[in-house]
Amino acid sequence: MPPRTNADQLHGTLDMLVLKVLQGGPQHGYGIAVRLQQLSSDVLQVEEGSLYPALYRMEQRGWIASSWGVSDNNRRARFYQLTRAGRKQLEAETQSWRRLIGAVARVLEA
Amino acid sequence: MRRLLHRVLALFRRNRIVSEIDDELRHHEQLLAERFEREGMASGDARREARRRLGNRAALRDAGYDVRGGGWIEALMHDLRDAVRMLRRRPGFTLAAVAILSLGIAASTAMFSLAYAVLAETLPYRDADRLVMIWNVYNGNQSSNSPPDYFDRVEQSRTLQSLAAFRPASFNLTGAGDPERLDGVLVTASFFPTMGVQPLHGRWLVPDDDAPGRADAVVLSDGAWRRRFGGQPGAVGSTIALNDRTYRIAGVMPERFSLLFPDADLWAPIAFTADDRADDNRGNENLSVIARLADGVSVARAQQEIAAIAARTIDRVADRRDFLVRNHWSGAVVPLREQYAGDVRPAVLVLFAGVLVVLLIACANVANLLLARGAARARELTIRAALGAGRRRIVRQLLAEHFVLAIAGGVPGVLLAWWGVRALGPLTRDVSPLMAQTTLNLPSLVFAAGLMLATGVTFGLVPAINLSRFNLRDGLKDGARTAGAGLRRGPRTLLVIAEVALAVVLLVSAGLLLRSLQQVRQVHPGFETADRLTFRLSLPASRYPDAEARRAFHRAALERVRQLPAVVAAGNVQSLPIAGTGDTATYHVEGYQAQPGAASLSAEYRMISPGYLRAMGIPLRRGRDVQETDAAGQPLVVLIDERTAERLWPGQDPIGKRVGFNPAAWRDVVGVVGPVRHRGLDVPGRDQIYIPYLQSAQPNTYYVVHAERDAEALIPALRAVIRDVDPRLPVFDVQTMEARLGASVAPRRLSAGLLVSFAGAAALLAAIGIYGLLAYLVRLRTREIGLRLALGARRGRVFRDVVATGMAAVAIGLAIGIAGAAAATRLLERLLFGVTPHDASTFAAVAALVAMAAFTACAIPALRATRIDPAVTLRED
Repeated sequence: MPPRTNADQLHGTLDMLVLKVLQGGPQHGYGIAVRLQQLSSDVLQVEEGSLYPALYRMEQRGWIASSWGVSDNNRRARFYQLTRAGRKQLEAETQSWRRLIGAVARVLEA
Repeated sequence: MRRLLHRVLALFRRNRIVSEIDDELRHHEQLLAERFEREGMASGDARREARRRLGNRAALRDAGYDVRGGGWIEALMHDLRDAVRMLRRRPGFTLAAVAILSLGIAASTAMFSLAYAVLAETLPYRDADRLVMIWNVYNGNQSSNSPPDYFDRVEQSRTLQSLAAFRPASFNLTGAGDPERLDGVLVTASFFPTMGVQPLHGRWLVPDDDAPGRADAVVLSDGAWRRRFGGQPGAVGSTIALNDRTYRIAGVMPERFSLLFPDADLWAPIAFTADDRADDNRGNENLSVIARLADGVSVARAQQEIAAIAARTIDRVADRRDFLVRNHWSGAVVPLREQYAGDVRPAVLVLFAGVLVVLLIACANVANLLLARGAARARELTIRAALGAGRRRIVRQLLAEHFVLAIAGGVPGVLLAWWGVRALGPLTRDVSPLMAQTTLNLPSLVFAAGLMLATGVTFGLVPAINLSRFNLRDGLKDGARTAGAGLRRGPRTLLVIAEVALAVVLLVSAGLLLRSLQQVRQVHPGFETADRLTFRLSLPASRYPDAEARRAFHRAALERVRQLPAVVAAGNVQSLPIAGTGDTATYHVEGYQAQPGAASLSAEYRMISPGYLRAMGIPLRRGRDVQETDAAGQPLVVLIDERTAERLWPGQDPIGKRVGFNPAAWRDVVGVVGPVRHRGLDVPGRDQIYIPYLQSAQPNTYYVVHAERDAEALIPALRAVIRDVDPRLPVFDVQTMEARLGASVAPRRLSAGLLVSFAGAAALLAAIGIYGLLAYLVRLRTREIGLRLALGARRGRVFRDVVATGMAAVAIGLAIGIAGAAAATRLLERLLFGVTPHDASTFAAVAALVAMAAFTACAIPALRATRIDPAVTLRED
């Protein structure tokens, strides 16, 4: 098992990752956590204690919207989906993340 | 904004929001548990592991609710609810604080509103700060303008954009119903454009209206238009009969225009004729002149120019030059506001300062209450801090309490102020037209409320600040009673000293004003007021064109009035003492040469009918009264007051001496009368000369009737008599002489009354402050006093100790207050009459009063201290 990293270890990255997951379509909280784990090949694991506050915060900021729906196994679940503002936010965060990564990489390779 | 709405809405859906969060978390937990089962865990283990992963459910729910729920608004509501609960638990403190707050806000807001109206509020005319009044000046005293003076200034001035002349006039309105008397103002056509206010309906007067021989248009005031024409716009264009001439109503001015003309019902053209404008009419000074400064011109520059114009006039008019030079004649420019606020400004400033002092004492009291409460709560707050309440949380809660307190005190305070201003308005009618129309105004409200709030917050937060200085352990270790002892009592004592000092200053000022009012009331006016009824008549020139016609009317009217039963005497006069303005003129004495450089002789003169002196109760000292035979064509005679006679001819018989307003027409002195205070009880009379009304061209208007008893019961009979003589003549301004005299001291009574009530409030607040301080000290020392009593101390000794502590502070406050008052009362000097600013008896009375009130305030807690039961106190700890 590869070493696991907390998804919020780098401050603010959790928001970006959740937005990225939601870019693939509406998802409930559990689904987001599972998807994040899958996409990161089990490297990133999100704590439920940070996930939900982050979701509520982003909803408050208008980046995501939520509604009650029915999950794959026919259970009532709260689904989150990206809003237009969320899409913009994701784009901005992705760009600044890339810049940061690039800079860090250049420093490390120097 | 949307977020705020969301927060507010969330308040009403708290349960739903919480249950949704729970649902969501439960769903997540289930899915987790299923996965763990799929990965091979036993179902019980899987559920436990899932629950563990989700961690503290309550914390998660709270985190969710923080974002989704009411958030800070909910916290605020929570704090406010707590605050209300807290305040209700201490009704004594809350009631005291609310009462002090509302009284302080009410008194100061009401008074500031009045002061603001007089000193600062914009007058309702276009660019009113550019408007000035122009006057003639003799020996430094303002005097009205003559028509030629006015035209000199119109033609020569460059610093004044426009000038307008006006003078009061009265009109008998006849037509349907009883004849009515209307007060009007005769104005030049330039008047309305100079004031710059558009009419409500119709139009202004224009130069065409103001042409001599025309003058047939009038502009009504809003009040007259509503009263006589029911506020119908159709009234414009219709005609009315004024003084038996027909006028067309050209327009109606809006209500606010009347601010400086509270009595004017209408404005009519003045229509100067060539005779009016002639140089030989310069003695006829009866015009007020208002002008608008040209752009960029200062009052000082306009003043220079007006003085220069006056100097040129002196050079031009040869026959008056000596007179004008001798009396230092010139012109003056006075800003409009100064003109109208000038007289009341000292009184308003004193009252303003007075209420400021009350407000300060109220603030000090609130501060003291809060400090005392802070001390009482120190333990509670310490415990809460020990239990983990953050300092921010505690400050927030204290703030919420003061906010609730401020609202509870502020709302009744504002209502009280609103009522106060409305109640004061009518009382100020005789004081200043600017005051009478005052309404509660916002700047004052913001000021007073802001000051009170700032006090509340500053002193209310002391407990929180102390908390940080304070070691938690010490706070908890201290006994319940002494929990506040860690707070020094120094600031509280200082506040009480300040309160006493301020109250003393205010009490001394109020005492001096009260004494002045008493002194003024004791001045004998020189005439009698009991059972004297007065009224006015105005004979229109159209039906009474000459002196002969007027004489016939007055003779007939006076004769009929005298025949009424219960009438002792009746007469008429050109202008009543106190009520009328009256005229002053330079006069000459035969064989008397003024010292070079000395001011010329000047006298208040009045035309009187036979019987006037008797009706007014003015004593005849020597010689005789005027008679019906002192008519035109007969030898010219005068009466003179005894003080002047004694000064002019010391030790000689004044009867037969000759005086005159014009050296070409000497008049024989035939009688000597007692001096009269014509201009007010507090204004010493000048030289007084009475002229028989039949030897003057000026019409008399005031009638005086001396009744045997109950003068007012005569009114219907008097009206009937006048109606019999001339049915088209309105009787107006009917008042007893007592009422007129009363109105003349109204400003004095008002300012004394207000200051006395401020001082009373200040004294009461200070007494409460002293009481509060001692009650608090006794509470702190309960244990110590109990111990002393247990060890055999006498109760009298305990009483003396406590009172001495309080009176020491009072003595310091009293000493500072007396010193302060001695300095402050100098500012009152202009308002005083018959007392010096350092009147010893007033100071002594105030000191005694304060000492007594303070002793009472000290005695109550001291008595309580003596009743402390040693057994109980000692058991308690």
